[in-house]
Formats: sequence, structure tokens, C-alpha cells
Amino acid sequence: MGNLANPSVFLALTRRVLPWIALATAALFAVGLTLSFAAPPDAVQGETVKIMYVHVPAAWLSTFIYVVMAAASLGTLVWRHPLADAVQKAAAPLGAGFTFICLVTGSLWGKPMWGTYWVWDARLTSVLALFILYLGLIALWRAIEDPGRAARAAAILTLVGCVDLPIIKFSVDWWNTLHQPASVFRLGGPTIAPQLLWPLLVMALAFTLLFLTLQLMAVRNEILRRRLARLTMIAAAEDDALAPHVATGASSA
Amino acid sequence: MTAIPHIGFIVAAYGLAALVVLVMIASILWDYRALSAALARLEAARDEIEPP
Repeated sequence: MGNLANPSVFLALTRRVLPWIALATAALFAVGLTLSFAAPPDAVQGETVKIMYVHVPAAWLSTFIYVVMAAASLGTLVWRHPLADAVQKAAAPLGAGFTFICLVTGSLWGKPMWGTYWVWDARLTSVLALFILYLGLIALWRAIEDPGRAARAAAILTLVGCVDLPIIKFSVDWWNTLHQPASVFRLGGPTIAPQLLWPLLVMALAFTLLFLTLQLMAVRNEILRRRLARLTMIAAAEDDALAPHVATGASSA
Repeated sequence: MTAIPHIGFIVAAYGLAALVVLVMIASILWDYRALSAALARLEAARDEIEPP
């Protein structure tokens, strides 16, 4: 694990494992989508339940990615792990993307089932707050030029934002919401029929592997961006060192 | 042949999810290509000043 702190080791490992993870992701999506479309319709919702196979995995990732970012934030603030801030920075746009999918597919599912695209109930509002939090973190990284200061500020904001996670999870229990209560990750086991549950679990695994693939690629980009910034600074310093010499040469000519 | 009720909502949900995922993949790949090209240019310029 300690070796992964070395960016060169991380890049070499990524080069080796990335094609295999991408292949496994594609295979799982093929199986998951086949099972989803072959699954029987729900007794109440009919075929509309098929939206569940993209909505629920996206919802799972929207909070899982935030937990990854919170762990990376601890890595930045407490252990000063050299790659922790790269992991945090790379994950934020992916978290925003999957939360956006969750919100829009939920809205498209809500219209035929609830009769409305949106209600300001606790679950929907707390997930919207999470989406805004992701956008805020992306903006924060772009607003602060010094990468060290940006990493610390983003880490603190990420940890403060963790307060939204239990609100998302328990909102359906704490308040009267239009959104249904937990039916997969709950004490007493899932309440969904196995014919619908298995495709959902395969799709959730496919989405999780997709996130892992994209995250590895995005962290690789962050390492290259740092390398480019460092080399650009070295080149600029060398140009500065040469400049007086060139100027002297020009005046003596 | 009977039409599936609410098929438009189902297609829209899957289509939008696919579009967002494709945009995320494309932006990461685009970023990687741009960074790799910039690094290669910089290293080539350094080699010109100080031949390896």
C-alpha cells in the first residue's frame, strides 16, 4: 500500500491493471443489462421498474464516491499521503456525474409513478444538496491556485459535507417522504423479489467497477498534470537563468 | 403488438445515463491525450536544449 504513494509505481500499476478492469466493467454491463431487460415487470410499477437498474446503482455511487473522498480527505489532512488529494480531486467530477444520473433518472421514474418530476421531500432535497456539494468542491479546486492550499480547503469542506450522508440514508425514516424506504440495504434483508434483485446487484457491481476504472484514469491524469506543472516551472526557471546571459550577449554583439 | 406503458421515460433514463457516462469517459481520455502531448512537447524542447 505504501508503494502506491509513489506516483511512478501507481502509474506502472495502472498501466497493467486498467485494461483488465475496463474489460471486466464492459462484461458486467453486458450481463447486467441483459438480465435487467429480461427481468419480469413489477406487479405495481410494470416495466417502469427498469429505471431502477440505472437509478439505484447511480444513487449508491453518489454516496460511495463521497465516502471515498472523505477517506482521501483524512489522508490529506492527517497522514499527508502524497496521492490522497489527487484521489479526492479526481473523484469529485465523477461523484457529480453519478449524482446527476441519480437525480434525473429518479425524476424520470417519479413522473409516471408519483405524477410529478420533483418534490422538495427530504430524500430528494438531501441528494440535490450532495450534487451542489460536489459542484462546490470542483469550483473550490479551480478557484485556489496553490495546489496545497486547495487540497486542504477541499478536504475540510468534504469532511464538513459528510453530515449530508446520514441525512440522505435516514431521510426516508426520519421524515414522511414520497420516496420509498430502503429496500436493498436494510436490516432484515432486501424486500425486493430475487428476480428483480439479482439484475440490480449485477448492475450495481458494474457501476462500481466503472467508477474504479474512471477513477484510476482520472488519478493518472492528476499525476501527469503535476508532472507537467513541475517541468514547466523548471523550464521557466532555466529560461530566467539564461535571460541575463542572453541579454549580456546581445549588448556585447 | 402492445406498446409498453411509459416507454419514453425508460428510454430517456437509460439514454441520459449512457450520455453522462460517455461524456465522463471522453473528458478523461481527452484530458489524458492533452496532458501526454504537452509533456511530450516539453520533454522534446528540453532535449533540444540539452541533448540526451
